[in-house]
Amino acid sequence: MNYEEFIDRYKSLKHRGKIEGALHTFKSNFSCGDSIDVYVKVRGSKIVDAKFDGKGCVLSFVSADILCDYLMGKELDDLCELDFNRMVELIGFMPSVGRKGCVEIILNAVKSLCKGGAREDRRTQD
Amino acid sequence: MHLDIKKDFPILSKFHYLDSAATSLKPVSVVQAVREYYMEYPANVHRGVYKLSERATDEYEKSREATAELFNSKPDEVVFTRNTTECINQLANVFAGTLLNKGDVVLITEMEHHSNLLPWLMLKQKIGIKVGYVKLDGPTLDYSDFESKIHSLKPKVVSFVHASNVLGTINDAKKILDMCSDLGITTVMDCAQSAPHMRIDFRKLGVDYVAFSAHKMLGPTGVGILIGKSHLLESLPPFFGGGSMVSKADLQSFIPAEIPQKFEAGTPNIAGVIGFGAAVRYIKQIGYEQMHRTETNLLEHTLKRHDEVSDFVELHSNTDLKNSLGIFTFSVKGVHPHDVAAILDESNVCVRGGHHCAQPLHNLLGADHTVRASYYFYNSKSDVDALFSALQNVKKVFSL
Ligand SMILES: Cc1ncc(COP(=O)(O)O)c(C=O)c1O
Repeated sequence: MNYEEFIDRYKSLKHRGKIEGALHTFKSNFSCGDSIDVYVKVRGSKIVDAKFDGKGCVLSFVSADILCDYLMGKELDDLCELDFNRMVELIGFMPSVGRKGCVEIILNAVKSLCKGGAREDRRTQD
Repeated sequence: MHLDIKKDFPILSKFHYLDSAATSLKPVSVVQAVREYYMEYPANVHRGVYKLSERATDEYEKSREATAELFNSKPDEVVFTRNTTECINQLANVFAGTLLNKGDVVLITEMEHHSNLLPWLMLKQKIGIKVGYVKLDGPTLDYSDFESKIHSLKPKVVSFVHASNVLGTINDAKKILDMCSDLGITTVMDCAQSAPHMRIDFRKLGVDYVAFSAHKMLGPTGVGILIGKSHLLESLPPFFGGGSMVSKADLQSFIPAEIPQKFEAGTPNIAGVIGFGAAVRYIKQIGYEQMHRTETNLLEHTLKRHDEVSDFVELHSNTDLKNSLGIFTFSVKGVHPHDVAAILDESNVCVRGGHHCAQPLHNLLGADHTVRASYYFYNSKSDVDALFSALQNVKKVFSL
């Protein structure tokens, strides 16, 4: 990855923070110990706000910021269709094997908000 | 004999490899030994009577002898496993129910790599042993805490890391073993980081078991070495059941083979062990003294250069040149270790960012993770200088 491209975004993240009363989930990357909280606010079935917070590197935070941007206005059920390839399109490059986990952490967090298995999770902070 | 180090490790002409604590580079002679086995005598060991198999057995056993010589043990005290982690896990497993029962204490330290923590925590879950921890005093062990815990907790087993993969600290093994002597305590040393850099005299130290990995000391991956006192190894049950570990078996019972075969069930990593033999020969040629001199000089140079960047680079590792490996662990203020490592990689400086499999120690350091540069005798000042100029790039990118 090219740090120069990402660093400006990293320094002015749009979606970093917390939303009280929103759907919330938490994921961590076992290998590096990083963790991200994601908050998605839904009105009707549409996502009207998305934020994240946690511990992470430039790539994980910028990926999270880009994904939160993308989520705005989407249907909650659309999240199920997100996959790694879509993430690669969104961030604009294919991360190396060693950095794949940095991108996946936000992807997995967001996906778990729509998966049936994660219903409990999504209600944790409703 | 003159060794041309740069020629023996061709990768060094392309990369500043500063991650030898994770795994070392392998000299050409080790790669050749592995290749020769596969190309010229790729037979199983201890099984055939034809020439190829005899040669394989012979070379395999020569590695055991060379290892025993380097560590001043008897060849039958040397057991080949997969890695340090396996050595410690297997010891913990066979101690369970024999040496260790519910309520018994295993004393370790707060400096451990996960491989000398998790096996004991697993025994805690499985059979209810207790795990005690010796505290740190800055980057070194608190020896008075060690002594008092030996007396108050009355551990059955004391297992400690000889040198820390994060702090670089070399612990005073002699002192610890003296504290344990005459108390009937079984002693285990995790020598994964020390064995590559310093002479370990198994006999003289008087420790019961030491464990280390070939891949951190010029050898191939997939070979671990457990050295244990012969009378203790004789008293332990085998690690695994299967081929090669048994002297007699019928449908009802079996008699295990003699040591060390008893612990080497199944076909071992023959090529890896033979490659490790070549690694041991290489280490003998260089000599631990020369290694130590080079690595200490590199650390000294590192600490000097650190002064120039101490405004944004925080040092975590030990700075006591006499009692440290060539390990420089640091954080860059406000920058994630992955990002530091990735930016250094742009200058072909290979360092590791993470918790280095020592999460409890990182909690004590007050850092989730750190960046580590670790040196071996094949590194040079130019590698250190490359590290520090690449750190300036980190500063620039993040406008520190
Ligand atoms: C101190 C220490 N102990 C144990 C190990 C585990 O070695 P292996 O992964 O070869 O089992 C390491 C490796 O990183 C280490 O640094």
